[in-house]
Amino acid sequence: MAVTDDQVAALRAHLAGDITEHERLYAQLGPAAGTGYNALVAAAFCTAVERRFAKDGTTADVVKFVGDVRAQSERLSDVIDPRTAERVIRAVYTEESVEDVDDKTMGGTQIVLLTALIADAQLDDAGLDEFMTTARGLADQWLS
Amino acid sequence: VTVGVDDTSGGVETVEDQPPADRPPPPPPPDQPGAEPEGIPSRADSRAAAAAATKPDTSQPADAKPEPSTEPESQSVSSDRLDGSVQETSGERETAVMVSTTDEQLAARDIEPEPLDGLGAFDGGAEQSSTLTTSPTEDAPIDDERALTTFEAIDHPAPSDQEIADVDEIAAPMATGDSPPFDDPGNEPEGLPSRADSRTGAAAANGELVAQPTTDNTSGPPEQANDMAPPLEIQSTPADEMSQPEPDKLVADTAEQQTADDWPWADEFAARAQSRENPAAANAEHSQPAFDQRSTDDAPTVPEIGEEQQLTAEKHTANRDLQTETPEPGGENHGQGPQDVTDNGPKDLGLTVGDKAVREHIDPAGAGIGEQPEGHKERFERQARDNDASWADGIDRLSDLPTGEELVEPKPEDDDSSRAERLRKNFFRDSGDYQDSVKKNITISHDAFQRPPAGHPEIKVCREDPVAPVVASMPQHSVDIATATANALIISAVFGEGIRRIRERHMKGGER
Repeated sequence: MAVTDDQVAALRAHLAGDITEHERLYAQLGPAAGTGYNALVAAAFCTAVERRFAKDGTTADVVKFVGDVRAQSERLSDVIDPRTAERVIRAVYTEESVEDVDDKTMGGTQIVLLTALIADAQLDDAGLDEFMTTARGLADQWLS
Repeated sequence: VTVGVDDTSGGVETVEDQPPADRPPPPPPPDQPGAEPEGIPSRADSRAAAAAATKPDTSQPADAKPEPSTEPESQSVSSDRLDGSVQETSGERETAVMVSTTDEQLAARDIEPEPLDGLGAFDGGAEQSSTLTTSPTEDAPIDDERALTTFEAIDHPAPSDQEIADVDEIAAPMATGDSPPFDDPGNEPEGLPSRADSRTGAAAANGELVAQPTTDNTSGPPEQANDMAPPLEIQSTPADEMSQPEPDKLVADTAEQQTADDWPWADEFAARAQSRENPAAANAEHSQPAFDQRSTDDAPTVPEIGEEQQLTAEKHTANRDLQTETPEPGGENHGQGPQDVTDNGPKDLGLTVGDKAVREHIDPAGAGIGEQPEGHKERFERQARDNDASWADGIDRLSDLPTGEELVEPKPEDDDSSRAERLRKNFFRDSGDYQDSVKKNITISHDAFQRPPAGHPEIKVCREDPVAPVVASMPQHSVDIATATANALIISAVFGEGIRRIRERHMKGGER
């Protein structure tokens, strides 16, 4: 199983801020496309964290980033647990394990943090396409 | 009559030889008349007869006064010191040696100038010790005891009588410095007059009375001065005593005596001298290995003198045999000694437990100990390293070990696979809850991080410079309700007072 273009396009529309297009593309995905889409979301999250914190990121940077995300709105602060969010971010480029985090918390944390990272990166269309290509490659590697 | 030489005056004095009263009279020497066997004329008589035939005036009476001599040094017999003591001169000793040599009776080593008992010429007074004689007591006899006090006699046990006779027959050779003095008649070369004869002739020409010693005057050893010289029987015949040896014959005899081969102990002394000169070689002989010592243990520990030479020869022979039989230290037979020990030890009975020997069964690790010689180095076999092996498995060289950079930053292919696998385990959740949570939180995140619409670029201006303080302008307040109410009350109050004043004037004017 591999990640499809529809899955990539649906996620790209969300990251581009076109919520209407995202809802349309996501509605076109069948029930069997859940695995690919889930893998693509997780791979996009890992790729975005590596680009932001893997080289010279510190724990303080991670803590500040999580705090800024939670300060955007009261709803985000209710959804995001700061300790879990920090562990998930550090688990990408460190040996820390987050296998104990449940799927619901992991899904909500990854998509919120992914949206914040891409919004903070202010990628243009080309940058966003290149990002999506990398994430798709990692997802395909997981699913292969 | 004693003729002495006085160093202080240079004259020759003749003193009477009178032994002290407290001393026993010395035994008559064998040369004196009456000491020799009957029928044989004494040596003194023979010499006196010979002297009378040549120079009848040389015999002096016992009470003759000494007369100064024009040639005192020619006597060379004894000299008085300034302190009154008398010491024998070297000429006296040489003369004594020469007399014994010419007689072919005495060995030079057997003639000891001073007796060991300290009663020699140094102990006596001038009258006793400065005895230079014209009396017939010159030829000093040398007895057996005297011969034993020599150097060779000390080193060796007393030889038998036959050996003593052999030694007496072959006198010791003369030293190079002991050349025959020309003072003695007969020792000078042929055709040349002796110095003594020349001096005597000169003195006679001057009309002086000269105490001219004969050849026998100088022949007596110094031991005779105090009459304490041990007697020695001289194996000589009167014919030998009477005949003076020719110088050529003397030299020839001396040359014959110088050959060490004629001496019975020559080989023995040669071996001793060799061992003294080379002590290291002697030590090496005694420091042979144990099995070398065993071969020499059979020899007597304290060999006798006569057997020492034979023992030395046997040692040399045994050493040569051992050198041919003893293996080299680094040779193949180096461990022959331990092999001999093990041969005497317990034998290997060949007991086994299963397929293994008993020792290997009991101590497998130590079973191989002793089989290899000491210092044996086992061969190193390189172990090939597989790709799947651990980083240290099969490493036999430092170059095969991974570097620090390789350990910190592994190769890309390995990094990608491990990284992807680790991320997949941690973040990939293929479940409905995960998918529902993602879908639910997409709207929330979209509302929070909504991107600005296209066509309305928003440019953030960031002031790098700090804002300078500015004086605030007067605030522009607008009319509020309170102020209007207050103003309305004030205005109504002013109008009400004005209306009252105007009404009062009308009333006052109406009344008027």
